[in-house]
Amino acid sequence: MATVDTVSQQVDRVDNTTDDPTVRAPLVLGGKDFTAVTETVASIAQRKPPLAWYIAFGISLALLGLLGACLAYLVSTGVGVWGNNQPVAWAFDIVNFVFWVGIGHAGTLISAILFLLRQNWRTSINRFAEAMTIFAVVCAGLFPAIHVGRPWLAYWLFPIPNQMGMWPQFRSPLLWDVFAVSTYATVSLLFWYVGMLPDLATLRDRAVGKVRQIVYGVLALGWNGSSRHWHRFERAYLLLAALATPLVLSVHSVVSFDFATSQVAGWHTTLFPPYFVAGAVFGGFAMVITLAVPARQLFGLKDLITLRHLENMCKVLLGTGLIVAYAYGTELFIAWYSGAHYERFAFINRFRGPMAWSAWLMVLCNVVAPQLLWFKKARTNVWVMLVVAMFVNVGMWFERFVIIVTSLTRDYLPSSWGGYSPTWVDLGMLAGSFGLFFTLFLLFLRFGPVVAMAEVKTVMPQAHLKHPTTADERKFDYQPDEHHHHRPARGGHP
Amino acid sequence: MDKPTPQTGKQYWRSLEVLAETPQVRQLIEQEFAGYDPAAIQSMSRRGFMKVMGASMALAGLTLSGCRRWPEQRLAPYSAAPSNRIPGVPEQYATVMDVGGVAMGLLVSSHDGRPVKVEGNPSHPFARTFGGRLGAADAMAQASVLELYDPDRSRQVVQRDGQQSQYSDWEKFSAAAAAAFATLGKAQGQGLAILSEASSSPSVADMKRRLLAAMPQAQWYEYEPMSSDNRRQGTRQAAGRELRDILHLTDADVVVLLDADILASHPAHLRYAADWAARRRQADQGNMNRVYIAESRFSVTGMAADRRLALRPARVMALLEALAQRLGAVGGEAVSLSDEERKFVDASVADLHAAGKRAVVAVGEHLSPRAHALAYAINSALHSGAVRYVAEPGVDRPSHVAAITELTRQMAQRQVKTLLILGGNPAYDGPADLEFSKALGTVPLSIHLSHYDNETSALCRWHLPRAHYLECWGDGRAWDLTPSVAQPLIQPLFGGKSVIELLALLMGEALDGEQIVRRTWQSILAKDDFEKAWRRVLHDGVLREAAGAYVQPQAVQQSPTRSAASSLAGFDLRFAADYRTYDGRWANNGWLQELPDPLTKLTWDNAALLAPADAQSLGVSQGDLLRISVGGRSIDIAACLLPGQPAGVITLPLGYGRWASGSVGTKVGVNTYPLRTGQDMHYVGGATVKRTGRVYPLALTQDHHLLNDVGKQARDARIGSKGQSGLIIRETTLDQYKADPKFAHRDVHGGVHLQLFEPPRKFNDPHAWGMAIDMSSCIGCSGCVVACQAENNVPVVGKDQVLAGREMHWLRVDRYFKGEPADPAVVNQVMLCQHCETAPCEQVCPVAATVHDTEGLNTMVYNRCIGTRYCSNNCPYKVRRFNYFDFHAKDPRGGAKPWPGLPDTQQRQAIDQIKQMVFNPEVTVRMRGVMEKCTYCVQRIRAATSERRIAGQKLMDGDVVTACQQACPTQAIVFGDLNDPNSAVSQLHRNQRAYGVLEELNTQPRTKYLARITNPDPGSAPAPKPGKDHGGH
Amino acid sequence: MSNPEQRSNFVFPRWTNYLRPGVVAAVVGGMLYLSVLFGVGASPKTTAVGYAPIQPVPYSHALHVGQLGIDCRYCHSTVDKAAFAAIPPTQVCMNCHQGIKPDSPRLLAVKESWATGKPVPWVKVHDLPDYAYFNHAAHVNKGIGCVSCHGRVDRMEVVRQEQPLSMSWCLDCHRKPEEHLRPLDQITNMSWRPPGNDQKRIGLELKKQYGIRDASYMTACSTCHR
Repeated sequence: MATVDTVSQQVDRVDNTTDDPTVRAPLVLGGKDFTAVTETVASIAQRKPPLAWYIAFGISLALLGLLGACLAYLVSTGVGVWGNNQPVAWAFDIVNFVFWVGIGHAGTLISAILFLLRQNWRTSINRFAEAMTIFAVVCAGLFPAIHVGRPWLAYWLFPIPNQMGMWPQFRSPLLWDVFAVSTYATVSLLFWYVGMLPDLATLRDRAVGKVRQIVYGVLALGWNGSSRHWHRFERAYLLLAALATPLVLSVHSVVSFDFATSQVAGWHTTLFPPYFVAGAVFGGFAMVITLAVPARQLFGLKDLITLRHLENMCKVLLGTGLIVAYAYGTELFIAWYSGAHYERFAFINRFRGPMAWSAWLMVLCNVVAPQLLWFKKARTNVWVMLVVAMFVNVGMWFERFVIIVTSLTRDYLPSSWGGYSPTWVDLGMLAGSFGLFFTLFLLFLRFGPVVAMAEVKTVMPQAHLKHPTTADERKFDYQPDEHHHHRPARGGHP
Repeated sequence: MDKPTPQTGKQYWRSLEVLAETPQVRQLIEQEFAGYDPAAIQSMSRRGFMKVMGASMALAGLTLSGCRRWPEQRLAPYSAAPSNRIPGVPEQYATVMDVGGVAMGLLVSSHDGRPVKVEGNPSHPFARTFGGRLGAADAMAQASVLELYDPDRSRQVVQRDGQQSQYSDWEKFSAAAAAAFATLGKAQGQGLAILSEASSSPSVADMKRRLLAAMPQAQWYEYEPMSSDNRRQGTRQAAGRELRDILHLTDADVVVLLDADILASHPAHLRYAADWAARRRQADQGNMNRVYIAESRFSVTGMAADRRLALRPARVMALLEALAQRLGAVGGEAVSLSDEERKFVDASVADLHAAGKRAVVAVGEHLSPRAHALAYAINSALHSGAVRYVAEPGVDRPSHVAAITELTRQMAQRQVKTLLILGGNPAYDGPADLEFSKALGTVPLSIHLSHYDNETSALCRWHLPRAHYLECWGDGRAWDLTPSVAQPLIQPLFGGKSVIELLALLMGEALDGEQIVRRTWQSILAKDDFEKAWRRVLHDGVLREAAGAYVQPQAVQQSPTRSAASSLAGFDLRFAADYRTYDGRWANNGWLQELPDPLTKLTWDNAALLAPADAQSLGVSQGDLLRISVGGRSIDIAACLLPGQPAGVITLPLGYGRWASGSVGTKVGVNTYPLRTGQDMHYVGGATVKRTGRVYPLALTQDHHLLNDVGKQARDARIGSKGQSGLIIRETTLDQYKADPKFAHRDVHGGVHLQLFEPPRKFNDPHAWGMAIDMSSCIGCSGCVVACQAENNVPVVGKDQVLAGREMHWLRVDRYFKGEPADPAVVNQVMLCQHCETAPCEQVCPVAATVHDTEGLNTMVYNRCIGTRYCSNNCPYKVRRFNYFDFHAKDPRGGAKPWPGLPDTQQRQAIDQIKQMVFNPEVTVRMRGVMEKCTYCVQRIRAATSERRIAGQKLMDGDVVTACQQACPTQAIVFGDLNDPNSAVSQLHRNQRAYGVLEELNTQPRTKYLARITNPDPGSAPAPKPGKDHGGH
Repeated sequence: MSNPEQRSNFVFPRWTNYLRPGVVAAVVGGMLYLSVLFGVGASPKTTAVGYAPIQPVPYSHALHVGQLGIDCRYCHSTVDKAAFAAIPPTQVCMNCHQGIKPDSPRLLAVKESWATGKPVPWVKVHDLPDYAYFNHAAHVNKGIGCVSCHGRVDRMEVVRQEQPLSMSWCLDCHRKPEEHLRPLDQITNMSWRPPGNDQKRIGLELKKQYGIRDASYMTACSTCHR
């Protein structure tokens, strides 16, 4: 196994954030071989987690409890326990919904679109990006269900035959949401689970103790790594990727229709679908960074989730950030260009009205902060990128707040202009939704295959041993996606 | 009541409830006789039974329950059915309500024995509108039905001795009273004093006569905090006898008012508003009247006037003197006037001269006797044909202030052994300097008959529950003395007695109310065939031919003007009856507490109304708590900035800060009576104001937040500059209207001329309902708001919820100030669901809970609504209202509590049984989490339609009348069928002033507004704007 | 999977293959079963039809209507005048029962009511939700017979609910009233049959004659809900 060593030794010394066209930067560092990779990842699910995990989990559980309490109070008393009012009939409830749906984008985007685009660097982050998606969609799904005045009748949103002979109203964007989000949730879940099969099998094989063996065993669906399994697996994964890709675009487009198709000045604009999707990706990546940075620190994944991965995400963040900034500009221009009094006022009021602070905060977080990422120093410094990502998380929440609440506070008739201020229940449920999200996520970190081991291995040089390893030769013919020996590479069947 | 649970498996499916929660079910079954004392159920009498029937009917329409089988219900038929009554079919009875000595003619609808809706009596001269087809009633009269079912009304005779009080009953009282009055009778009534509230009732007058005949030594006093004694005195000076002036505004081309709020505060305001509006509606014929007003506050009439001048009280008098001199009604030294005052006088004098007989000058009831004398002199000088006079009744009594002063003196000197207080609440609303309460404590035997166990009752030995006017027989006289009979619609819920019944009891006359009234009316009605005449009066509710005869004595020469050097030091305080609680008697009425003040849009409070200029100089802003002191007395009250309030004057609405009003009204607002003394009950000068540094939350339904510049610009673009059109408000002056009849449609946006798509639906139904609202004749009195609330079971939400912006009124009156704060113009725009043909709310509802019907109604199906509130967001008019809590079940003064049970059981179980009786069974009572809004009173449409269809007739114009239209004294709201080209509403929609608010959004509203036309004199008319562009950009 | 220490891992053993059809059947069948269970169990046809509570007075419609042939409107006198088909006052019972069977024990409750003036607390059988506003007069005067909604009351010893009274049930008729219309003089006739059993033809004629509006009006929400 000499060759392996030489490879690892060479790889060791590489700073993989350089972009030397002659050298393909390695995606796994620390001289890891396959065993090492498996060891690093799988052991997380087996070792006792670090103290930090317990602290984090404790806090999340507490917040989750708060969410439960708020829910009970809400349902037993009425949505009046929120700050919603006339004219601001939607506030934190829908803001949170759109925010979480947005977060839910990055995961599937990374796994599906980057997968189809052959972005190998996705392999080490896609797994928990997907997990993040699922959990975010869970949070998102909560709010539409409880924001209604009579949640116990929310099932009327689904086309179920009934004695009233009534169907839902298919012209309503809110109904489109129901279908869009539930479809997205289903496909993402399948995609995530199917992708996990080989790794679950690995966990099963390493599991000690009957319970874990059986649980992982059942989850692994009897995977035994036979090439037939691999073959089917590849196909399924490819198909799901193809299926998930359009959904990434559709979900948030549909969510944006809630506003775009409405009458409210500040909502009523054709720009929304692309603008919302870009924003969602933007926010999603910010959340991935927010989760990845501490996670790789905590569980010693530095070598798998390398600086290069983080830097790439920063680039995406910067890119999508610019799209969002452009969208803000376009909105303003169109408002002015429309010549419509109400349209213009909506935006003047957004930036000069009583709630201007939220709009400016949004601009600061979503437009100004990401500009740092033009600098490589910033992109390669975990602290800077963490801070920027945090800014973006906040900014994206406020973007929805600005669009929804500020537009509603002052619409057509000055007589019905109003204001908005959240109650403790509003804040409690916002915090609570984070509690729900992190509880699920931490549980996954603790028990699941955090990194897609099988996939990571395919992008390691060891997967392509028969090739010369000197840079000058490598640059000509290194095409990992076309290889079928050892572990067959992902999906590249022409 | 037996327990209906045959516990068999077969039964299980359909009575899950029964098995699940038997006690609840038992309770529910008991509720079929909704908790009234079994005694009532025993009684076989019609009304007694109806209370029961009514209650169980009230339970109908309560829940919006899901699919499970609801609890078993019982049907309670009559034992012996009264003739010609059909269960479930409402009946109407004519009656009158007496406020401050003037009776309002009412028509009350009763559902199975429950009076639920109070409307004006179409055949009453002071209520009739639409040429006698409808009758108007003001907010207070309409809300009085809520007082009938107020659980706080006193239910017991209470006996007090010093601190401790105990429940007693009528037997004990009559025993005690009999003894006392026997001795009094021997003493010729020596030591007996009676303090009565003002009453126009012939029967009360008759009983008074009999009592004084029996006890000549007894003293009978009358007190009203809102008194028109000044007019009595003034007319005596001017004409040698006490007169009532009756304006005939239809005959007046020019009306000059001095502090006279004739359209809203005057006892005859309904009639005056109707007549005034009749002349406004002639704008299209170019034949409008012109109204000048100089006032020391901002009144509803001020909003409607064509030229308004805000002055300090002293200057109003000066202006009147000047006016009188210029019109040759009085001599004397010239009055010095400021520029704008002179301009005002010049303009009005010119117009008055020009109009001659067709002009009239009126002064506020509260103004000094001299003012009334001058007004009389002026009108005689003008030979005005627009004012007539009738002799004031009850001339033998001293003025109200004098009366209560004298009584207090006698009490203090221990001359009063027995005091009988008939209604009223002098301990609360008596002059502050008298210390009436202290004196009252010294009276050995004091008896208070009152609806509530209130501030005065607390100081009396006996409190007696008084019967509500809907519970007892009575009568009353209108402003022009037209007599009416008041008949009960329901037995006294709490065993109260009326004034005449109590007097009969005390005088040992074994007569009930009906017998007393009939005895009185023997003298009013034709002796021959009394019964027939009596039945007619009961049916019509009024005896028109018995109105007071017009008299016009020669005007006495008035003493010449003496320039009174009025000091302008400090602030003038102007005391005014509140537009909602009046003098405080309605303080416990949730509907009125939550009714936005027409000017300030303030709910659940009164406030010191302050001119913005004064506020600036004092450094005061909205809601700052002020300490207002005068003559050693002071109160702390929040400041409310009111554009158009005269500088140097602070208006203090009375009727708040009650401390024994009930669960709704106690400790709401600030009591302003402590500053009001017997010297002048209406003004006091030289008050000092300073800030306490504390801030007080004022619950406004409009302008929740003060606007920043951005907001102000946008608002002005939308409502337009003074006298000019904006995007949503279209208005102009009569002259400009003549010049440009199409002005209402000159709008840079224009309507939507080109349609990209076919209209989504065609309305091919025989009927197409629509509404027209004339902004020229709307005065913003808000009667329609209460009408809608009463008709449609609209809940009261409470101050905290209004502050949160969750008021539930389906119909609101948007009040916009235009121009600079010192001298603003006001436009009132009644805003309710516009029933857009392409309704934005409909296409966004995911469960199809709001959809159009074939007649073009934008229907709201409560039982389908799950409450996403998307429709409300998408409604550009923001007329949809959401039940954030179970507001009917929520205590308006308290917070919403979690409901552990099934959500749709909350209303059945949590709403007070008595309160439930006020619900209109024709309209679903909405539960928590449901969106609601104006339905164009669909229940009335359906009722009229099925009635006609069953009779095989066609629906006629005027068959369907919405509650708001019914209540509107100025006929500003017209509803009807747009498919009928001759219907009133169709004609109005064709009017060139008709426009749809926000029609550029292509909502195609079925409600159109008629642009506002004002008729200012050339001197004050705003300059026409250059170009036709109306304020858009 | 040859080496022994891996065999301890849980991989589905071969025999589980035989379970597969079972699993599929359970999942698919279970869903079907549940939907049918709720579809049938929760429908008003099951929950409402057949509701026959015990009444305070053992009054037999079979006797009074079926045998004695008393017209419905003798007792339910307001059915063609008002929305609410009045429950007869005790008076009405006594009109006859002063003379007929005055001492029958079955009449105790009635006589007590007559004596005390307390109403007889009948149990409501046909109980629509409170937000559905049904108008008897509107239906009776437009050719809908009693029997259409109440069934053969003339054969009922104890009144029971014959129809589900569910919204879709109402809508069926509101969409096709012609299937139930009858001449006005046959409204209370429980055994009326259309001449030549041609309900469709006579129905359409009557629909025109009564001026009954089209389905879009008849099924508008505001027709029944306010």
